[in-house]
Amino acid sequence: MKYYWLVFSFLLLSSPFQPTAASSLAWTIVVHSRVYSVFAPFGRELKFWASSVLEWEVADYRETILVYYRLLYNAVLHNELSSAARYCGVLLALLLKAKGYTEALGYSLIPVLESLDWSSIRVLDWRVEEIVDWWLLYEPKSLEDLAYAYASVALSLLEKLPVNSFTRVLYTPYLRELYLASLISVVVASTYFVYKRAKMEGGL
Amino acid sequence: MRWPSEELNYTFSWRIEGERIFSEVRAGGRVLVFRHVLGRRESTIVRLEQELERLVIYCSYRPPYALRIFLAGTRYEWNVTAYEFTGGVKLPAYGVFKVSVEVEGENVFLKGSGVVELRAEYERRLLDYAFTVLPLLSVLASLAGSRRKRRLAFFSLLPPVLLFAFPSLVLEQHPLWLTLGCGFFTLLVTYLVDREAFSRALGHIAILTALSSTTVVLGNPIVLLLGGFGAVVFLASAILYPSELDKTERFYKSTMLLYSLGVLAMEALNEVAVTVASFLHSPSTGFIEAVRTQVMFASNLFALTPVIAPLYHLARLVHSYQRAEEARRVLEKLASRPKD
Repeated sequence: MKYYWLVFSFLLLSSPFQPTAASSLAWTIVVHSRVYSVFAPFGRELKFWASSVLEWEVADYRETILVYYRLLYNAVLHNELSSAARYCGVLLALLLKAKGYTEALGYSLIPVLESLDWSSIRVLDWRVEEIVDWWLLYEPKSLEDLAYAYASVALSLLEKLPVNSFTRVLYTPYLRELYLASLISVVVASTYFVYKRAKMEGGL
Repeated sequence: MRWPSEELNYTFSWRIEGERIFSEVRAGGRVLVFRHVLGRRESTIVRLEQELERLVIYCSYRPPYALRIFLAGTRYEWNVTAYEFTGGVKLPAYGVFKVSVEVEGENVFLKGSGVVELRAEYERRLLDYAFTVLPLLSVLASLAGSRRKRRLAFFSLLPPVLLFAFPSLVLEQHPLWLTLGCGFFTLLVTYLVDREAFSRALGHIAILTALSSTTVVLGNPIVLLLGGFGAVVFLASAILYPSELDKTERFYKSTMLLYSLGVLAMEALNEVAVTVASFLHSPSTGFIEAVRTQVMFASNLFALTPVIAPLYHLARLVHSYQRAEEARRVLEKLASRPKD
């Protein structure tokens, strides 16, 4: 029996995915945002992609972050939540990587981020491009300052996502078609009644 | 023991073996051997092109060689045996990335790097934006009952057409404001252009606006799905039994209004019940959920209205007409009976 445990432990240790500090930081942000209820079942996927971003060699952070924000927005809008979790993980890790993030920094940033007063974090009501530009030019004074700015920027971006269930339903295949069919049938019924009434009253 | 910066006597020699050059440096009893690869002005062009969800790699070089590409933390490798090479991979990521390429053949090693921009594809269907024009469907109801169709259509559709010049303005609005705005605007235009049509269409535009708004407010498309089912059955009743059109229309209007407003009221009651529950004895999550479930049962009664009411109406009409048919046959029989 102990051999099974050995094999299991070996498989566990040799697994290509080891959770990183970046993935923990990204998930902490998601937990405190209003998209948490949407992404809660996809936490593992989000963390995996946040970790894999650390190996990327990005040439233009601004463009890459904006591309991932647009992908995330579209995926949430079309209710493709698995893809959305992937893009969200990439986006949050890219924000960190753009500021010269290293895993060593990440492990000291985790307790700072967890001890933040989340009610005092300012959600920026700017355009996405402005938020990203501000973050890329921002020079943190301390670790706590970095944590506040990161939380503020990440929450501001996530705040703009179309998580409203009705809006997502309108973009979800099949549900959207059923919705349209129902609305059109109500319109046809109403139009028919008005047309018949107008004919009876000699209004046409 | 040797120390840094200590001067040593050394010997240097070199030799040719086949197509390779070997050089040797001997110093302090140690030998360093270098194997040299003949450097020529060799080059190749590796082209990366993005297609839908894949990245295509083109390379022309003398085979055989190994082509290695490093992109976004992923390594791709091919053993190429043809002069022209075309390969495809699933897009690893999107954005602007550093890319490095290696070509390793017999006695040849080429290396290059560059930047690649992988753009996100935007595949949008027209249906995705259909909801922006849906509230305008209520215009059809007013047009059906008006003599001044052209004037009414022009004034009703002018502002939405202007809005389409600024689509971001429309898309940024919450669907609730879009629905309510279109409903009130249609009513206003109909009132100003054709008062007769206004009196005929008022109830129906109100129904359309109320149903759409309720769906948007609750974030639940089921509200409209059930309404759509009811509308189809009412329409069937009106077409099958045209003499009962007046009754069917009144029943249709009252059912739909009662349904949409009732569901909305029940949702408000649900919220109030949950709020009040937290003030009651030992409020816990389970207790509040229990109260919510109780209220939802009551709300579901309203949800059945557009299903039960039209079916009941249709069944009643079928039954009445069967009875009327029987009565007609009896009267005909009585009329055809010879008088004593």
